[in-house]
Amino acid sequence: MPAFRDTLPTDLFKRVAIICCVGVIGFAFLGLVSQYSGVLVLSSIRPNYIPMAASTAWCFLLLGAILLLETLGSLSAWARAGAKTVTVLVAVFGLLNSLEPIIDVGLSFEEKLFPTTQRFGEVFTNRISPLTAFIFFLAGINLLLILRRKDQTIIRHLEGFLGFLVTTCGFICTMGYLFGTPLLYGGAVIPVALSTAGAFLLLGVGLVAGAGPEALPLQLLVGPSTRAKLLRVFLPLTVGAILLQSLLHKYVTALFRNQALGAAMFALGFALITGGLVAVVGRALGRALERAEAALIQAHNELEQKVQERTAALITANNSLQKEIGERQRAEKEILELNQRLKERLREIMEKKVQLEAANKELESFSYAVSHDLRAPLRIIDGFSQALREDCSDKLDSQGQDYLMRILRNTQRMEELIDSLLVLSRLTRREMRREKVDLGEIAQKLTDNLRESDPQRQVEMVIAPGLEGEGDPSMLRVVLENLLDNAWKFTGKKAEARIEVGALPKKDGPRVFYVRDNGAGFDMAFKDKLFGAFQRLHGKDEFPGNGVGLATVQRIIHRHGGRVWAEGAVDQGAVVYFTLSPIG
Amino acid sequence: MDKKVILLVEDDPDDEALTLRALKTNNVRNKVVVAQDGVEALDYLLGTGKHADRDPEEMPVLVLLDLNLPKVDGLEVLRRLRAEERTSILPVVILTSSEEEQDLIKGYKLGANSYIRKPVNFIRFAEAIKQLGLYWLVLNEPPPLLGNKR
Repeated sequence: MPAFRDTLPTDLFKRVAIICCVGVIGFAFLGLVSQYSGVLVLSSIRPNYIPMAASTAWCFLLLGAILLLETLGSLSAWARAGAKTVTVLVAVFGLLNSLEPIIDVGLSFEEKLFPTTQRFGEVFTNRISPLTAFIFFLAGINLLLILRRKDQTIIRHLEGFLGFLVTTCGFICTMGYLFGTPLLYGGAVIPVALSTAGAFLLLGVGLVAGAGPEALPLQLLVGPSTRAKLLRVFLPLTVGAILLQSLLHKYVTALFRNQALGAAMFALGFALITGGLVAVVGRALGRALERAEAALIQAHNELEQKVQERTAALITANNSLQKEIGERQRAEKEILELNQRLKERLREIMEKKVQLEAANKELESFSYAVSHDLRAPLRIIDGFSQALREDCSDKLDSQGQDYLMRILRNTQRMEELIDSLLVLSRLTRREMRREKVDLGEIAQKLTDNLRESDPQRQVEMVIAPGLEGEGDPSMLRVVLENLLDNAWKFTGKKAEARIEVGALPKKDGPRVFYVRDNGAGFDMAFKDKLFGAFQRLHGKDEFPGNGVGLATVQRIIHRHGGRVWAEGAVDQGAVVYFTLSPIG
Repeated sequence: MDKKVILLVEDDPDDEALTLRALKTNNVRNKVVVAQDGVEALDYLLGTGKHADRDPEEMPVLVLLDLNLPKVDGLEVLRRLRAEERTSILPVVILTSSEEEQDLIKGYKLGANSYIRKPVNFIRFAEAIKQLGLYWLVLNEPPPLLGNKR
């Protein structure tokens, strides 16, 4: 059923307006032809009806043509101005003629334009009805508003309203003819012709259509709303049904002789037809409503489903969020705990450091006191041994002399040991500096010293270039001094002695320096003993020394945070490696 | 020359014997007075305590001061001597086995005239004593006596 369509073709109203205009123009031609040819029945339809007046026909022609051109959009600015003027003239003409019978001032110039002598009853046939004139006045104003093209809602509504008024007037007049009631088409004065009534009906519809669907009353009928849909169906249906019923009643009952039977038969028939129509429309409506309801339910269900889906997604998101929050809180707690533990560790370390410092200090004063206080009795032993040798040599035989010499030699050794211990303890106490040190340069100087002090030795010295390290220069000097002294000493019995100072190829971590010799070497089984104080791997008569040298080296390297270790084999030489910062 | 007294402040009798022997072998014939602790040394020099009856005019020509002493240690003795006017310019040579840097600094700051570390080796020690005697007792001109004569 087309009435239930949600949308209407956009140019529907335009088309309706055009058709109506064409119809109006058609009626106008009919009126003109009937007036000028004298075949009045062309516009009067029936001989006992009044024909359309010539002025009426002209007015229809003008208004119909202007509305048509306007609807087609083919009016230029000048043409529009002309159209407005013509419309105003028609409206004024209508107003004057509608006022004529009331004030009777002879304002109408109709008689001059269309002289006539023919009469229809008591009135001239070619005179415009005051009612017609008034409707022209309304239609003229309406058309003028349309021509002004002011897009104001109130104006649009006014256009629609005036158009509706024109339609209604045309309708009433037409009804008057259909029901044979002249009062309705102005029987008291000059009556409105049937063709005029029809033309007004068309013109009114055209004006309403021209006002557009946004204007009242069309606004009520257009659009997808249920109200508009129902109105679209029931308004024409009821109006049509009632009109049809009254018309049919008038004509059908006349066919029956028995008027009561006729009325009954008519009522029955009409009830059947109306009932059938209502049933059909009701079914269609019901279906439409059911469809709408089903669609609504489906939409509702879909919406519900979507809401559920969204809710589920939200819950999932919320859960994962909760989980994440939990994890974060746990991580935070862990961090706090770690922090706490770290603080405790730090406190412990600080305590340890304090303890260590105290212990170190104690050790320092101890080793100082020991070396200091050891020296005093040693001096006494040496002194009196010397006194014995000088003062009592005549009383000592050669054996006694030898014993005395041994005592003196050992006091001297003891002194050296004490001195070494003092150096070692001082190394621990001294402030340490850290700066760039050229180990190669120090090694070169030390080598020169060694060569000077022992010119008979032939030793091949190889010092790699670019041996730069970072540390305390004087301490590193002591390190190299001890290592080179050792290397020099332990290569003493080699015919082709070779000492090498260098660094391993660069890798990750700190640089590894080394001092390598091809001397007496050592058994790797004793490598742990190498760096202990007073530890010796060789006999005194083999290689002299007090066993403090490598201990001193280790102490210095450890103070730098580095590591020192040695590799070697008996009679194959030895390598001492060291770094100046921690490994790994 | 005999009147020039040397004051040896030394607590260890063995050290004392060695020092005296070293002085003797090097022909230092001056009278050597020995004080065995810091209090005795101060008593002697300032004419107090058990040396109260000593003639304060008679000042030693040289004080050989050990640092590690009982009762009052060597550096404190030196400080008190320098505080007294009569002994403020008295030649004091520190003779000790300590080679602690701090002792050296403090000793010189308190006004020691010399600082000698006793070598362990007696031959070197004797040589040091010989040089010491030669310098302070022969070459060096002792300071004049200061302070009020009683």
